[in-house]
Amino acid sequence: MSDQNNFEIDTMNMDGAPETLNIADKCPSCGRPNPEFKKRCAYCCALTPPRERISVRSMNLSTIILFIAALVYFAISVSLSPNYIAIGDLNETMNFSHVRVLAKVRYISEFKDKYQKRSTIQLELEDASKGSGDDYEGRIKLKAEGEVARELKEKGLLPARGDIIDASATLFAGKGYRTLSLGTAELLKVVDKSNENKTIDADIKSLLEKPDNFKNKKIKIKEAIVVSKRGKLIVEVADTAVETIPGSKPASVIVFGVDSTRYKEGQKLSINGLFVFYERGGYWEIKVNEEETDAIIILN
Amino acid sequence: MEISIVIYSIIASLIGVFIAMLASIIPGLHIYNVIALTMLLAFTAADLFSGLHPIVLTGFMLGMVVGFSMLFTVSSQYFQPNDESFRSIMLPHERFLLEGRGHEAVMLGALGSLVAIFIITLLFPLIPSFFALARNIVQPHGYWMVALVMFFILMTEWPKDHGVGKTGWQRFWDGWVQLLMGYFTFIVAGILGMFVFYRTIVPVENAFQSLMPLFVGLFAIPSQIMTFMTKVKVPKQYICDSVESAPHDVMRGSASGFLAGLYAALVPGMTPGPALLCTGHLTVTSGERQFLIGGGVGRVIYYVGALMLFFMPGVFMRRGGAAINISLFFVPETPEQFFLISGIIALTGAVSFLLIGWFSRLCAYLVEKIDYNWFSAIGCAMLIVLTIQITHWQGMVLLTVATALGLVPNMWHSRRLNLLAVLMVPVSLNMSGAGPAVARFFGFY
Repeated sequence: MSDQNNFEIDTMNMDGAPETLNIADKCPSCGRPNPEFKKRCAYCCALTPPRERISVRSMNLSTIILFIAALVYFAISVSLSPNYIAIGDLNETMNFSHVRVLAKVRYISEFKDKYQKRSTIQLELEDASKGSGDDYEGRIKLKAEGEVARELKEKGLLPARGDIIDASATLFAGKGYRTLSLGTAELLKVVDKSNENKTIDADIKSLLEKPDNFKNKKIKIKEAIVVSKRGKLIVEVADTAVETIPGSKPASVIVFGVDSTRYKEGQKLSINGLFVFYERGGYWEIKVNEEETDAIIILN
Repeated sequence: MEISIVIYSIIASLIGVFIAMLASIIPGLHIYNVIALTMLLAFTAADLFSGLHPIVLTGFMLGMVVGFSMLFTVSSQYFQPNDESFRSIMLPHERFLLEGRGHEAVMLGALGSLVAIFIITLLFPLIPSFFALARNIVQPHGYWMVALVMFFILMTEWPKDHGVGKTGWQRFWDGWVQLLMGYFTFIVAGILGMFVFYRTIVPVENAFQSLMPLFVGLFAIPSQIMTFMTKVKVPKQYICDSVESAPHDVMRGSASGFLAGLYAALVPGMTPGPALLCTGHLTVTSGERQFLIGGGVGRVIYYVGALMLFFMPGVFMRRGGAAINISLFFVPETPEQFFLISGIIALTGAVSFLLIGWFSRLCAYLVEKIDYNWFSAIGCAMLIVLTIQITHWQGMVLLTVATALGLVPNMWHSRRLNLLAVLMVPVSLNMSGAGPAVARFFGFY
């Protein structure tokens, strides 16, 4: 085979029988004439027998395998169920890893840096299926900072409290802390909208008599009176209509998250907020976000 | 994953291939230059691009990378010929062109590219743990692995036009001048690389493209200038239906290309060229066909394979310009994203391969009808405009210096491979921890 002049050997097969090489009268590499049907082109030295060559057509046909592979991969990517990790299982051994959680939004809060420029949206999440109850291990905070927070708001991707969300985020976990950080707004999706955002009208008496009926729900108190102020963020309110025995304290509830300097004792307020049980203090409170326009309305 | 995202990503990737094909017609234009321009547009028109899901934009970029890695050598094949005065440094594809076998050279490279796409899409997803292991093994040893390749490059520089002088001293000088210029190029390129790594003059907002003026200046512009200097009539090209290649050519070329691509993909600072030089020796490749096939395999494994490792669960390795650019707006996270990326690579790889034959015919036709210098002139102008646009006048200063250095190998017929010291020297020194000390020695730090 290696000797280009030895035409006789080249045209024998292994049994010694003559073999047809199907050599064309022109070089298949450079196109110049090959009138003597030589195994090598006299001009470019390329091998001319088809068996020494790979046809472009066969190469083209082999791409069918790639098209099939592409279809299979697309099918897998569409059908693959996401690998959700339970919030309770997120620990420091998984620090910096990208994780995906299916969770229920417990609270949403937003705050800005000290220059009032860069905002951070923080969601407290619990496992969507089993919830967290009073178990802190079953909860985690998801942070969206700066651009991501802005995009979440501008694109209307921000979930509401009680919504079930699918979030892919980076875990930052160490001794005593666990946080998820959202890389882009699109990696947070609302899977199921909640109806927990409906506001329920209530008064303080009914809240305190049957607190479980209102637990973790958004409530609206049409009229309440400020009975005292506690620190910078807390005021205590009571029903305005309830007659109280002189000298005794009226049934009251704490309103948390307000700028107490803005209110005076005896002032009547309309309050919109979340009714929650403050576990450390062991009492019920209404959490409000004063950035919401109707969070607190002064009535007198 | 939502089917709409998959469909949008497929469409975006095919658009990417189309743009890559258009860009490929200009010789010397590199895909990373096009990606840099896309990124610049993305930052400028943030509102327009913010409407796209990051994975759709990733699909678009991936389409460009796959398309370009398979197509961009076609125009260089036809529009950058060398004449006989460069015979000693002429590469096989240039010789094929002068024999009227430009299309065959293209298809041999394409065969290598096809093999690489098969390896990437059918083998890579099965062995993610191998890459995680390989990365962990290579990471602490990268600096000396790059240093070894540098030594190998320097050791294998050889005198090419020796013995033409009339006196003994002239012949002695002829023998040594190429070696000396090769070493000179290597040292100066290394110092230039250190300067850019430690004290780049490119404005900070575009500093992620600091290396662009260097690569354009060292490689692209000198190639165009060389083309202007070349006075050669490109013969009529024959469009062949088959390529001369025995199974052992494909096997050996693919083996050397695969190892080279993998080496370049795993070791920072490496590119397929020097890696192919080493692996070619390792796999005892011989002949022009194996070289062309190996080049095709190595190129695609490096550009596309390295990018795939960026999306591979458990690996997430950010290597190469495309991965760095994509990481600015997308963080790969889930297996379904990886499978989508694998599918896009298989699809765009197949489409790009089918386009190569037609694209080669188009280029063969154009080189017959239009003076190839026009393509070089357009390429040159585009590269300069792109450099100014992306890196401002400061980049232009770097480009001028780099071009002067890039012309040295052309003038003295030393190897252009030495110019890669611009990347290998700083990366190797930095990985070894000696980078800051060396930079301080030169007053860069």
